[in-house]
Amino acid sequence: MKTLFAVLKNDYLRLIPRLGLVAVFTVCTLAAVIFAVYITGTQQVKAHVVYIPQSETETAPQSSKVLAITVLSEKPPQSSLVQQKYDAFVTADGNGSYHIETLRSDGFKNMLLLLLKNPDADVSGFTTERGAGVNIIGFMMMFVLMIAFFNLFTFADDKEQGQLHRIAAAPASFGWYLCAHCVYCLSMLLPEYILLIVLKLLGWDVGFSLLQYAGLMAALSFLGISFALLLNTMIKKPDNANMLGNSITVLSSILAGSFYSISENNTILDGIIKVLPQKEFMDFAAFLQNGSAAEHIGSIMYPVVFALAMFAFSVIVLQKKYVKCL
Amino acid sequence: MRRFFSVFKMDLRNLFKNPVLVGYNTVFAVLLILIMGFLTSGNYAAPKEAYQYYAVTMLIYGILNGAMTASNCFLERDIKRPNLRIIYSPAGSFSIYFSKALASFVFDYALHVLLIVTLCPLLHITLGSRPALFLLLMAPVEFAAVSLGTFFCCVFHCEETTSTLLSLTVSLLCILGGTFFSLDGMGSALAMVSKLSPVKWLNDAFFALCCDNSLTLFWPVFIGASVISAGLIWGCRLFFRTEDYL
Repeated sequence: MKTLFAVLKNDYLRLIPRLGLVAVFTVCTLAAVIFAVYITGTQQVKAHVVYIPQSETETAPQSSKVLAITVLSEKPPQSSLVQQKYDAFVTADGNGSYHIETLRSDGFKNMLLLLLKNPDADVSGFTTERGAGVNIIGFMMMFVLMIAFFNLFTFADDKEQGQLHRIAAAPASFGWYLCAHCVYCLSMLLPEYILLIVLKLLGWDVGFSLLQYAGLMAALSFLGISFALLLNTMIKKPDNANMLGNSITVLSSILAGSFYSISENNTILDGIIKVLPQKEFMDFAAFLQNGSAAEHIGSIMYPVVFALAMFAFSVIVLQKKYVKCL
Repeated sequence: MRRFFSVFKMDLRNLFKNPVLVGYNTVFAVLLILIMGFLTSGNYAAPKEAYQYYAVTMLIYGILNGAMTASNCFLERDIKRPNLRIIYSPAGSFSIYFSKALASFVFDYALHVLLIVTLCPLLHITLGSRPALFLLLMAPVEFAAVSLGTFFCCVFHCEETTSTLLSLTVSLLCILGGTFFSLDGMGSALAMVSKLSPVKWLNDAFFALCCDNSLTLFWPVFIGASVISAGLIWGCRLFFRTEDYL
């Protein structure tokens, strides 16, 4: 127990020279959360369309909540379609039928035709929406994992500079030493949690209850800590471990559908994605939102067990390497 | 000149010998393009449009991340100490930061050109009617990025601070500039914010070049990036202090 507090205090003291960096990281995460709330809060426009009238007397179709129409006399460059600035260019011929030029799929074309004829048509069947809670957790995920990586610099430095040998030899508990790092990493997520509390108090829709958020964030952070610990254990240089870890985190988080869910079906990729703990985690968040969390308890168990396995493996390797007498 | 060249040669060799950096600029970039392109290909009728979008935006992301190559090349623990010896050699301090910037530039540019030239036929990506201009426009942007990395190194003298700060800034600007998903279609407020990000201007210039064959944004970006590079290298001269290495 004494080790826990000593290491914890030491961690915070070592953090002080890096406060600026921590602040930047935290601000980014907070911005991601607010961005997520904003995205879900505003009614999403389904199609941005440029209407090009052929003659001056022609009237453009109406804009609505789901359809945004810009009237331009000249066709914008092709690159605005590739960049998704606009989804389609629409021209009408004399007898009232529309000609649509788009890079998007036929499903979109059909939806757009429906909307052009009746701007208030119900098109909810064409797209899937995610709730506020899933969006917030998804946008936060990548940052939370990266923050865990950054915060474990204390352990990485200890290991690289050979302090770990001395700690293992000192009359201190190795288990409490690692535990202190975990507690410290978890405590660094407090600003995000406070923001959620504030948003909730201000009456915003944040999706989950605060207790649910605490559990989800703790599980997520533990996953990040275990992964960071594993990489730092296996790789000698903290720089390389950091770079590799951040790359894997970014890739796997995007693949797991943290920013947007994936519509494409591909058996090979689906198989790969299913293995990712973040994917199961996002699924669980979606189940939690729908209120069917109890039946899908396995979805949250998977990332937790995954994290535990990584953690246990790192501890065994570390003990073999440093605490030989055990 | 010969002195500078020998330092430069050593830096370049060090970069190519670093598996993480080589992997980051080749395998990771290809994976990002393929994965993002694949994930969003459902949005388009033809998957090649999705690959076209992400090949260009991810290339720019990779180019800007060249700043990290420079900081790694400059301040890696194994390299920092030899730098001290160069300061006291007749080569002088200019050789240190300029050769790091130049070596990182050559390294990144070579890998990125290789990347885009291999991916083009494979994914049916077009670089416009004048591909040489596309490759030419990459050069000053690439150099501006590595100068930024070198400049940050001169100011902060610590690799960790530099790379964390740089990767955050670059990622943030890229997210705002629409590298990972286009913000143009997410409401006027976000489209406005997106326009503030320099990454957006770069994206616009490269897309205009490869999709519209239009040169309107070529010279502004070319000259702007060159001026920024020169300014940052001059800034390195101001901030580089020998005492920091002791």
